[in-house]
Amino acid sequence: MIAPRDSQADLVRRARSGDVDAFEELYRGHVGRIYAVSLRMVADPALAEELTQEAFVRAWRKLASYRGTSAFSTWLHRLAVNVVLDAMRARRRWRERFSDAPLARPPAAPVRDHPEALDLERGIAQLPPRARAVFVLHEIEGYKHREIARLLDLSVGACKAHLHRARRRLREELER
Amino acid sequence: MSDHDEVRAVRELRAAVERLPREVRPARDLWPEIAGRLDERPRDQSAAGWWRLAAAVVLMAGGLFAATNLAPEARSPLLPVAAVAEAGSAMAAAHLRQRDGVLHAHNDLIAVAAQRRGRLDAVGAAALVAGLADLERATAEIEAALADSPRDRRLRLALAAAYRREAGWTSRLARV
Repeated sequence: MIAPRDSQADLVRRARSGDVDAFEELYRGHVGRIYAVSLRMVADPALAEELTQEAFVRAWRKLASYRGTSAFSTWLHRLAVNVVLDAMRARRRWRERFSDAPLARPPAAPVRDHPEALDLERGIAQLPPRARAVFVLHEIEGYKHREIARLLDLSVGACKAHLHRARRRLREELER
Repeated sequence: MSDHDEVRAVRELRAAVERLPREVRPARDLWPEIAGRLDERPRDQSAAGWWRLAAAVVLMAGGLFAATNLAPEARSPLLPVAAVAEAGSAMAAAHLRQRDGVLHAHNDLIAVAAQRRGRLDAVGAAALVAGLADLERATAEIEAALADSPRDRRLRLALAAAYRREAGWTSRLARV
């Protein structure tokens, strides 16, 4: 549960001054969203945990640069997305150079409450990495195509094409 | 599929996406590990440079060790670990060229991995690819840290944590 804005501003102020307890409260309030976006983008629970940790450590390090011009949750979320994209880029580069086979990874952690949601989560996890990233950022996280294109180093047209492909595959998955 | 059907299908998919939970909790509490990475004390400036160097050498040597030991013919590594250590000594002699030295060692590691790729089994190759990707991320962190102000206390803390994590990873990979 995310703290109300005023108390959150106080927590951020205390964390900026080095108060680890305040930062832990921020962590407790935001870890669900950060882990969710990480998990959906990398489709690997262990890696998503690692990236979530990395995002919070990086947030701690960069708290001094947070000016409060956007909500803390927005700032943290964008930082986490950058952490995830850095990891995806590194993995893609190495995979292209050294491996013909995809990495053997467990499927994404299922969502428990709804069979359709489970199918959708599974379908998202099975998308190719770029299409998955575009779909998650656009459809779930609400990013604009222009911003996704910049983050993923794609043209806006390519970004839209990935989204179209992802939607088609997911519809097929849900119709099965 | 007609345009009408297409629009309806996209709407249904969006509705399904909106029902997905915004938050997903990780299976375990990540805070203890995060907190452990926030508590480190910075070293003084002169020690930090040597310590970074030592960490970089450990990182590269560990990665090389892992690369050679994942291959079936591990008894004759193409590039001895000592060569990487010497590259590390050269880096010590020229602090300002540390980044170049790290990249040089990294490139040597790439060459070894590329030559041995064909002799790895699928599991070994997957582990190597994933591990080397992590190694590249670590190198990127070294570069980023060196580009920033070396007096930034939080940056040094985070860098120390990154080295420790990567050293842990290399020892884990070496045990694969």
